[in-house]
Amino acid sequence: MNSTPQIALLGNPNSGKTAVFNQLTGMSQKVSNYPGVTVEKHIGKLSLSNKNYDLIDFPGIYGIIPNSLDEEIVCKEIYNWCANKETQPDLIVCILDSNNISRNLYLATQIIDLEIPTIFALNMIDLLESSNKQIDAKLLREKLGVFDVITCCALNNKGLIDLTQSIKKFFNTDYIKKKSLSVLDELTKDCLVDLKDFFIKKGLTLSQSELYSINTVSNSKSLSLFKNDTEKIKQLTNKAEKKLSDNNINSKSLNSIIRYDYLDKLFDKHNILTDYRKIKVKSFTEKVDKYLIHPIIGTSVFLTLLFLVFWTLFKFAEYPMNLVELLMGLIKDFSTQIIPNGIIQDLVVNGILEGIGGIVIFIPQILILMFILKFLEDSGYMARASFLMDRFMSKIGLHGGSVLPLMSGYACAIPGIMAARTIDNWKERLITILILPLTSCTARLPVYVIMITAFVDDTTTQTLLFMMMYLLGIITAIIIAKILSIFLKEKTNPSFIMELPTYKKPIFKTLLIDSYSKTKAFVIDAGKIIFAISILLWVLASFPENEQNDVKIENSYVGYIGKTIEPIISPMGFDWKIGIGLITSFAARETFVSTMSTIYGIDEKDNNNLKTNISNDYNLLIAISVMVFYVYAAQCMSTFAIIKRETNTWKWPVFMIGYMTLLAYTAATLVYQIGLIMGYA
Amino acid sequence: MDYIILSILFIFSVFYTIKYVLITLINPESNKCNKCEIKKMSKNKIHN
Repeated sequence: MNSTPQIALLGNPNSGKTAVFNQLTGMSQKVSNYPGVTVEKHIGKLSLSNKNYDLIDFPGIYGIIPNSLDEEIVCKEIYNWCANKETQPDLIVCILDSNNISRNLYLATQIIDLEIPTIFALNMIDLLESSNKQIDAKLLREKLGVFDVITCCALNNKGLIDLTQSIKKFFNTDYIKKKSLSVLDELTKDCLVDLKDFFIKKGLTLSQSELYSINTVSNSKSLSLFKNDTEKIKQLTNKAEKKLSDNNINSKSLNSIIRYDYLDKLFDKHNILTDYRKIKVKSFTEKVDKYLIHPIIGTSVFLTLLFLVFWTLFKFAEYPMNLVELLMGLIKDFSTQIIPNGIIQDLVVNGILEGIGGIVIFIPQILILMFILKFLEDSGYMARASFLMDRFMSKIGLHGGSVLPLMSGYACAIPGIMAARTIDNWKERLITILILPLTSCTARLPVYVIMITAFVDDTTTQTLLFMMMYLLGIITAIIIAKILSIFLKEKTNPSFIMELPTYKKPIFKTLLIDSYSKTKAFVIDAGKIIFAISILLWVLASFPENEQNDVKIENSYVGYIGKTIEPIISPMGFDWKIGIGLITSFAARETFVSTMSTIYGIDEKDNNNLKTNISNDYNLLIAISVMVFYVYAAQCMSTFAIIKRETNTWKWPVFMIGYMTLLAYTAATLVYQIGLIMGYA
Repeated sequence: MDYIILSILFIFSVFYTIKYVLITLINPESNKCNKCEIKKMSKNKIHN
């Protein structure tokens, strides 16, 4: 039995639970300005006056009945708290978005019915106050009978001391939970009596039993929660539905009707929210959204923004990239001076440093890209971009919920695939997972950049080519989704309500920390495997030596392997050097560039940079063919493994590898061969 | 001497690459997703 007191953080998606969790525990779980960022529960230590507490952050939910896999984790846990009292947390901290108080209280009133001591934290209070609204926290606490209600702004760390004080106060007093107020009238209670009695027999309290009775008749998905009792509950639910229908009560909207009715009365009677239900003045968000989610204006703004992001990437990264290159040159010169002439010097300078240098040069671009994308995410724009894409998604029969996981794939496919848990329909979730690796992740960036900058000097053309690669991935993903939705048989319900968060001013420090940590992780983690592969490559490219103790790279082991696969890859315009890059890319895509660096480092030894070597050996047509191949190729072991884990079978990751490899090979061959026919070589 | 150092580095690299591949296949977040926040996330998750 765990003796550390447990505190559960519950709330609606995008209400700021993880921001509160991070501030209280000092951890750094991902926080962003769109719903569905947290898809698993996490535990952290909260230390107050030398006493430790377990703080558990759960994915966001809209009610106690799940609508998706991530919500199911929470809802099953909540039901377990009711059925097995010893598993209950000591305290629930319910985070509410102050700007959507009515919808957030819909869940919060259900949490009250759980009869577990609760503190309400009204988050994002600064935004509410800036729109001249005010919530009377004391009055809300009094009327709802919770332990405490505090106001805070987790992102700015405001009001969290009040929250910790309140938590301390709770654990230092003998709090007796007030009896929950029933939201049901006598007639409805009578219709639900059999269900309620069943839940009471299962060990639930009266309030909890009423809560689950209302929810089971309102949402048939709830039955998955009750494992062995499904059949019995189904019978009782049908009986209750019939009784409700006989009394002209709509069972499907029962939960929302009674809760919103209760809240309306509460807010009408008491001055909890100062301008609640007054004539609405259009907020900044509504005014801006008029344009940003408009089908034509919004799409134009999206494409312009995408162009500007990539243009910035090429324009502003040029100088820091030159600086990094200069720095790497100095390190290589220094290494040449301090390491005696011989194979170790050759290995360090032309093997390891060439390989590492090939990737660190991209630090400025990755940093800028991560910074801008995080800015767009935190400001709330990314959710609008998803909303725009949702139109295309619904046309191809996909769930709008697929958009956010797809959008998060731009950084790395893994969190995107995990975020697909928010999609409740298995077919739609599977399609999303299978097309997600087509969105261009950060690891492809070095390949695109090196190939584009080797042949194109003009920033605008560089940007357009770069943008085309990203769009190619997205457009192909949509087409593949359409094809898969035809072949995968399962009834779908593409209706989806997307919650658009309010626009927020991103915090500069958060943007810096996030982009720095992502770039650092990119360099350090990719750096380790690049280091190992550079050594392997150097050895394999430097042996066997001939009688003159010399070796031509074409005759080395690497040359032999490369030449063996060359006939297979030559239709795409690739030679054996690119072939070696393709092989090492299976460990991580980033290693393509470092592999090319190492190969040229050993082969040329003329201090030309990689860009110059590539432009000497290849042409723009081959560069485009390489990029098209990388848009489609499934060269990522992690993605393969995560798809196996998420789908629980080898069938789908193998299918993903198969279709993407075929696509990559066919598309790159077509590009090269058509280019040749048109005389572009 | 150079060849001894080279052999050690080569063997280390072979083992590291094999370890990297195996760990990635067993626990995909551990290597690749140092890049993102998932690694920290999985370290702290409670399995149901």
